[in-house]
Amino acid sequence: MSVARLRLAGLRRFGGATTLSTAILAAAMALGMATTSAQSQETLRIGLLAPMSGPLAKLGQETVIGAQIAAEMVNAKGGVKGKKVEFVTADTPTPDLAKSQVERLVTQEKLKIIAGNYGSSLAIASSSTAVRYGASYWEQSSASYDISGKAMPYALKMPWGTYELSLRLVDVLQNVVAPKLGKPVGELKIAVVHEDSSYGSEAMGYIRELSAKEKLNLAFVQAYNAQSINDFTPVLLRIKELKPDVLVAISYLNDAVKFQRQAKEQDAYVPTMIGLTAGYGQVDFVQALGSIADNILVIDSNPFLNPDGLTPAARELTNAFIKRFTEQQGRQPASHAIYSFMGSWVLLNEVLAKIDSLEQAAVLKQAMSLDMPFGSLPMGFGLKFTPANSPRPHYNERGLLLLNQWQDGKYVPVYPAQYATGTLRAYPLPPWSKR
Amino acid sequence: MMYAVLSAGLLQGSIYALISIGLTLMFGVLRIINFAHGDFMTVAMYATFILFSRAHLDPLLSLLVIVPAFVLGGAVVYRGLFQRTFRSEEPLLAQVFVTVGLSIFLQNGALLLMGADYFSVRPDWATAIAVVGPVRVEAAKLVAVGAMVAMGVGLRWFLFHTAAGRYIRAVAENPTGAVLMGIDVQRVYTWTFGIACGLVAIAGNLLASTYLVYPTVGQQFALLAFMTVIIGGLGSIWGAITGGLLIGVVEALTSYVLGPIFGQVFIFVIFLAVLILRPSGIFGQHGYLEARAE
Repeated sequence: MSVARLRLAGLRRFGGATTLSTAILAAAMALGMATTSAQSQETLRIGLLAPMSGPLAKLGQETVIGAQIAAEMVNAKGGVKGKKVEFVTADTPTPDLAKSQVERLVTQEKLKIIAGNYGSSLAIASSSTAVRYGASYWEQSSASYDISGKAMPYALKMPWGTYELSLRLVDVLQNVVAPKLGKPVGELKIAVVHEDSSYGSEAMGYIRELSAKEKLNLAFVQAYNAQSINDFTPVLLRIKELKPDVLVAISYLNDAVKFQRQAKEQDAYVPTMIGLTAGYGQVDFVQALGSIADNILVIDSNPFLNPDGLTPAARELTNAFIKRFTEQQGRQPASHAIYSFMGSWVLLNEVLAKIDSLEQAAVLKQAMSLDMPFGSLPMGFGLKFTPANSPRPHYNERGLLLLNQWQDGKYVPVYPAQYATGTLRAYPLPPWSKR
Repeated sequence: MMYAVLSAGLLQGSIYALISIGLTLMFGVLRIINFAHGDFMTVAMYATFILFSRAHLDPLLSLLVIVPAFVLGGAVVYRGLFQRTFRSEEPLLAQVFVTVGLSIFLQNGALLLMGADYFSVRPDWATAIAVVGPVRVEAAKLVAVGAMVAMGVGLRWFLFHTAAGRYIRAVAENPTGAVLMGIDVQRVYTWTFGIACGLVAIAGNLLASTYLVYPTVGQQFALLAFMTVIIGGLGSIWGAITGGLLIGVVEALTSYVLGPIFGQVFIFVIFLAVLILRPSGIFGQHGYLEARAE
């Protein structure tokens, strides 16, 4: 065989192989396309937003884990109407990125439902963008009413809001703090420090409103920026001069830890220290502070509330979630993981499983028809969205907030009595020298 | 009470100066505006945490490991990344992109390797509180102040009383002239970059006992460090110290009288006033690293 023939034969062999492989590739592509097509028919894709990087990453990631566990549990029992649930996650560390990610998920990924987002400022940006592009927005873990209010009518908010936080605060001042300190509630000198994003500012607005209504003595209010404050000493020196009976803090984690460490450094004693959820309710708070955090009070939801406050189904659901989370992560979940889990669970089982269309109107109609009593969901939550003409529209008015106390590293609900698993201790707080 | 407020301002200002000294050295000699400066500090904080939690090494002892590692690491980073930017047609632009890219890389690397968790480094000595009249201060902050003074004085002595310092000042003042005098400019740049990284490692190591450690902690201080060195005069060690103390005192006084939000506002007011009235900064008039003042 000549060299030319060999080359020709080689080319033919190569050509044959190419033809064969092209055919296999084409078949594989066709199969793949068919599989992808079948998968897309059988998969229910939902956008899931969270700040997975940046300053809010810690709790943002926690919310993603919570939602993913809800999807796993729903998929384990057959999915939603036979469709496998898949959360398409997007990192939203800033409001601008939150907007662009929502735009991408809705216009390019063609998603009809967007769930999220930890951090009120991020959630407000997300909800209004999602609704504007024709998707429904389902908020799972942030407090501001503007999340649903500024994105009417197709945005719904599962957690309680800042008004409920403020209401519970006033309730605690009237029924726990004043009797314990032996003073009429109107004579309590109250100081508040709050971070200045949507969450802190909105909560402060309601505290002012309710304080005026209930004639409380709001003696000192100080706003700060959680991202940029490095030193609380000047604020603590003012608090030392004022000697308030109650100090309320609305903070994220980093600023809450900084504040408490410096309060000890400056010996800024207050008989009553109340944190409003967020930073004060996280395990990291007590891990970073150790004994400094002990006996601090926190208004927050608590998955470890008295089980008598839950229906058997809610108890079972809570236990199943905590078991799965603990197995996967090797630790207990922060409350934000449970908010997110609960929100996703309701979205999948009570809304999407009961409608045939994912269009905004269908989602809204089904969500607004839900009527679940307190105790029927984890953390003692129920579900009833407020109507569109409410001053705070389309949020769940059946979120349950409790007074909790850090006791030897455990987050113990102490009030109201029917949800409590422990009693208030070391109150008024001991001086810093004994903590 | 005013003594307590003023001392709080001076203490906080010392922390800003501590972070800024490495930045001003880097700019003074290499003219590199390092946007990853805060992230270098974050890496040092993580290194301190890992040695504290895994090897039970006190932060003051881990300094002995971390600082040399940062000096060497800085030299390698300079050779691998920054030296190449000088060959660019637009070296300043290339450096901005390199430092911003490095910043993003370090933040996300920390997020990937260590997660978004908040870590705490609190040896027993750090939480002891010294009380002098109305002034109360944690030992961790006092150590940071001491380190800042030692760094300022030590760096000044190094630059003005050693042969290596003279090379650095010569290169800072006139790189072309330094080459003509037989100085290996790239070698000086390499080790100056390394020393600047070592200085920010000292800041990160000591501040890990005061602040929580998380991927973006350095960013919280990066902007203030830039403002500190610009107010003081880019490239001036005394400028960095004066700028830091000025920012600390202004922030504390306005935070006390008007609230923390105004504290931040007034820092920018001072910053803008310096830019308008003395664009080269308080000590910037004499040039980089006070070389021409001698």
